[in-house]
Amino acid sequence: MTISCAEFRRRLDPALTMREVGRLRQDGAVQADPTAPEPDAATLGHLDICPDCLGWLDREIAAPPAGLQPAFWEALPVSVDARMPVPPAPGTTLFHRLSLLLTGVAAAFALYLITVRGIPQHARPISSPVAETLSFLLPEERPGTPYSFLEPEQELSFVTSSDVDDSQSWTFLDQDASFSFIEDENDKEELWEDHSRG
Amino acid sequence: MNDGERVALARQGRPEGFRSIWEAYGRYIFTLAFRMLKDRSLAEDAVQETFAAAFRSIREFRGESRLKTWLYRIAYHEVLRVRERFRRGAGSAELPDDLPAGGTPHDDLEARIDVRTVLDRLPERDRAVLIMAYWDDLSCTEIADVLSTTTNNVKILLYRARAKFAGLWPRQKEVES
Repeated sequence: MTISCAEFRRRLDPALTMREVGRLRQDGAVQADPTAPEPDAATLGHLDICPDCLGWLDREIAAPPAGLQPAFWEALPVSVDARMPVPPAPGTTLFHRLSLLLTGVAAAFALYLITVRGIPQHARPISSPVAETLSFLLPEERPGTPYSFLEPEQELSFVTSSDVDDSQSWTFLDQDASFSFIEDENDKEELWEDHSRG
Repeated sequence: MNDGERVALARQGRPEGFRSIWEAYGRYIFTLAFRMLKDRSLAEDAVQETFAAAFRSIREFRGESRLKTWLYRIAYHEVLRVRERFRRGAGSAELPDDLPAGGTPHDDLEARIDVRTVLDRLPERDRAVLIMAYWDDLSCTEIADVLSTTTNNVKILLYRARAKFAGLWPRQKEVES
């Protein structure tokens, strides 16, 4: 919303301000709220677009009001009894001293680790990956070494297999050392018949 | 010694730098604090805390504004803080009515009371704006920086504060006569 120059100056009219002055006279007290009423947005906005009103306002506020002349300012108290706060110099406070001590101890410990004990393994920087060749060959099976196979007579005869229906059974017993109570298939059948008869 | 030299010395932790800042601006800050708080001891507390805060953070002062404006900005907020602390402690909204001390001639005392009485009847921000503009010679832009508002807003605030002071001033003289 834009306002005219006349409206702008009407809003700044001392008569309007004087209504507040009248209230101040009546109350005789200072407003508790430190923030005085803000000028409205339209009044402020007019100053942005109107150099004439801005110049007029600058001239109006250039000089102090009657009664507030420099001579009266001189009457204001100018002596300050407050003691100048002196900031502590570095190293004078307990905190600074402790900080310096801790820094020194940390630096000495770091120097000790580096020079006396060396850099620990886990603290070393990770180097770029290096491809290594892994071999599952035994030392005597190095490339170039002729393969050796077991001779027929060296075959382990006690490892035998037999096919039963669709499955295959393996035994690691030496057949010569194994023994059986059944002589042949006929004996097994007879034994079965004996049991079935009761 | 100019502000740049003062700040440079203070940044090095040199006592003469702090002392020079204090001597140059202590009374300005005190006047603002005293006029806003209306109590000498509270004003002195605010001044002390203002300079303590400023000296602690002097390294953060980048010189984008004048040293005086930077100190005023700290002081304004310290004054508000001291006032709130006092009100909480005293349980009252009214600050004490303290006459400024000092052995001054009778004429000065009268003038002082006149100005003080009128100023004290103005809202706090009006008082602060009048003091900064006409006593401390801060520009409207600098006052805006202190109050965290716009320059045009300060101009309107200053215009109205002038009008209020002028409206109260003759009335004050009539009451006394």
